[in-house]
Amino acid sequence: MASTSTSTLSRKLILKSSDGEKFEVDENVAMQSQTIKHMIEDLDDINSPIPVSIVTGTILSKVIEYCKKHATEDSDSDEQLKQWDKEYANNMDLNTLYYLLLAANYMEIKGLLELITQCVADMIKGKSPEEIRAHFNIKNDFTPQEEANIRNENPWAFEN
Amino acid sequence: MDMPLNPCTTSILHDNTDSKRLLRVVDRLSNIPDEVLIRIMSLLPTKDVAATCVLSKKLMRVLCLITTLDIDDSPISHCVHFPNKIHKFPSFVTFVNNVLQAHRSQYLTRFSLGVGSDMLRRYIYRCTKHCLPDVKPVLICSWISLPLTCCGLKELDLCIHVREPDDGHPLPPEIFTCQTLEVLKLDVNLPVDRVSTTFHLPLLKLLHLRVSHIYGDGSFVSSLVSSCPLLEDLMVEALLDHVQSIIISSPSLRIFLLKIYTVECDNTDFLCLDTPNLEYLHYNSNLAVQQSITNMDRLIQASINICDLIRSAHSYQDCRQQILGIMRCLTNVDNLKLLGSCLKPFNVDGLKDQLPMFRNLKYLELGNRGYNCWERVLEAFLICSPVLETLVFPELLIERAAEQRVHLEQQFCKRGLAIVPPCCKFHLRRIVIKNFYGNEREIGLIQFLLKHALVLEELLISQFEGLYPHFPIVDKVELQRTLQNLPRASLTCSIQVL
Repeated sequence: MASTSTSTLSRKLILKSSDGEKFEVDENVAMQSQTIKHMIEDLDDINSPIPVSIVTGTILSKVIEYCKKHATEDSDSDEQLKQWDKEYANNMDLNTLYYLLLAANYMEIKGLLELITQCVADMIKGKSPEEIRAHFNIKNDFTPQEEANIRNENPWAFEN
Repeated sequence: MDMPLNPCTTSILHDNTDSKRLLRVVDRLSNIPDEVLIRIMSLLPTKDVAATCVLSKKLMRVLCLITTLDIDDSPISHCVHFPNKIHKFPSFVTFVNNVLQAHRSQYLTRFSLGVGSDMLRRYIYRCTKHCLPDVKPVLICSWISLPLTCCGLKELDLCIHVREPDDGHPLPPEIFTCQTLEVLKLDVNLPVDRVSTTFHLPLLKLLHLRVSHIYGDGSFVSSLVSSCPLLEDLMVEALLDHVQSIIISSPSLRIFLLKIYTVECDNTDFLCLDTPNLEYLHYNSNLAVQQSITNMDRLIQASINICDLIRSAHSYQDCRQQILGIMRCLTNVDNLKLLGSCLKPFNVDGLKDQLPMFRNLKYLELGNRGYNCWERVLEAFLICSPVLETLVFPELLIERAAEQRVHLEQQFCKRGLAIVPPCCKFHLRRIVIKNFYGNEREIGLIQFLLKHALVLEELLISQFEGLYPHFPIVDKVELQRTLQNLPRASLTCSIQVL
């Protein structure tokens, strides 16, 4: 995937988070992000830090943890990798998951985005609207009348 | 945690016993960018998505943009034996109408619709047409037509059974010419228009068909399979009074599951498998009266479960030749299961000369249904599986048999083999026996196996768990003691009764 023709096996890149934290990572780790891949292509000086402007250091370190694991996938079987993914996602609190989701989307990391979207979907599954509202802290911007209309239009959706 | 990109955060007070501190809590669903929210919602059943709409205007907007529609009428059951919430069906119909009318995305990639119970459930509960919803096929067809007009439909999963399927509205023929479809699952009692339907699915990789009598002649399946040049995974499940022919010809096919259930345990007239690149075969069916099967040199795993032998056959010999015909096409497998009545006609003299050599076989399951004795079967399979590592008896080791036959088997076990087969000398490390009673005849067979398996590491036995034992079941502790005292060729072999 990372088709850099040049000599070195693992060039190092420096990623800089929105709050100024710097991370040195192998190129093949960083290249799992399509966004960074495109940035590097346009970059003259590979040694200068690459800004990941909307991602904080705390979140970026989690993103890098994921990318590192998936950059060396040869060592693990698919099954082991899946298990690792599961534990990785389960260890996140909702807040972290939320920012991780935004980061995965911004950085275009397909695998991570799929993992977190599935994780959020699983949280929604089987919950009543009220439970979902409480869980995700969703602000209601409907009037009671509007809400009643929606419920009346599609009673099937609110059947258990 | 503070992030710069929260356009609408709300603040709430968290009560903490030590100190009251202000936490900024974000509306974590509505603030997600649309394209990500659409992804998340597309992973959910459409009913759940519709229910979340009531939470905020943004979620409401997303409903008509999701790229997956996954709708079914559960938990409604129209089955007259187990009815459930039938009065809610009109509400379901309204829901489908509303969702489909409101849908605005051109990028519907997956459409799944379930109406009425599936074929197997109907088979198990012996459902009649009155167990099916009374909904007009014309309406169903209009529902199915929508996703076919979107560009990029990749997956179509239809499980639809209606009370009156024959009102002149066959399945939309566009299903069978969809240029983008990769996955097609059909379990439908609406007929296929046999006159004007052409088949061409250039990208289809997976096809799961449940065929009932409505369009169940073999040519539908064969024509459809032949129209998919990239097909890799095929399942055909047929529930019919009688199958005339099953003809599957596909050079791209890697996985094939065939399951045929006939009402009268009837035999298929003709089975033709021309699938030279198959890697996995699961055959669960009656034995076909005539067959033509190609060599499958790439086959890794095969499971052959013969439910019934040929009824019209004059002798077991015809059935044996037919089953041997199947086996000769599978000789490269490393995992083989021969279940059901497969071995019923096999206990004959000279079997070892008739069996093919399974030169890669590492894992073998031998089922035993039908009054079998092992004296000629075991020897033949051990000799013809030179690198066998695991031998499993998944069903029953013994069933009732004529006394004379049992005597022959016991003599064989006592006498043993003149030459130890190569697999027993070098490879056979594990033997698993399920549904074990613990009687004298079984112990004799174990003694035979222990005597010859020189490198055996593990013998695992689990006791009979079915409802109707043919023989008394020996107490576990006593059984364990008897087995531990048996002489064995491999001193390091552990014996466990589970």
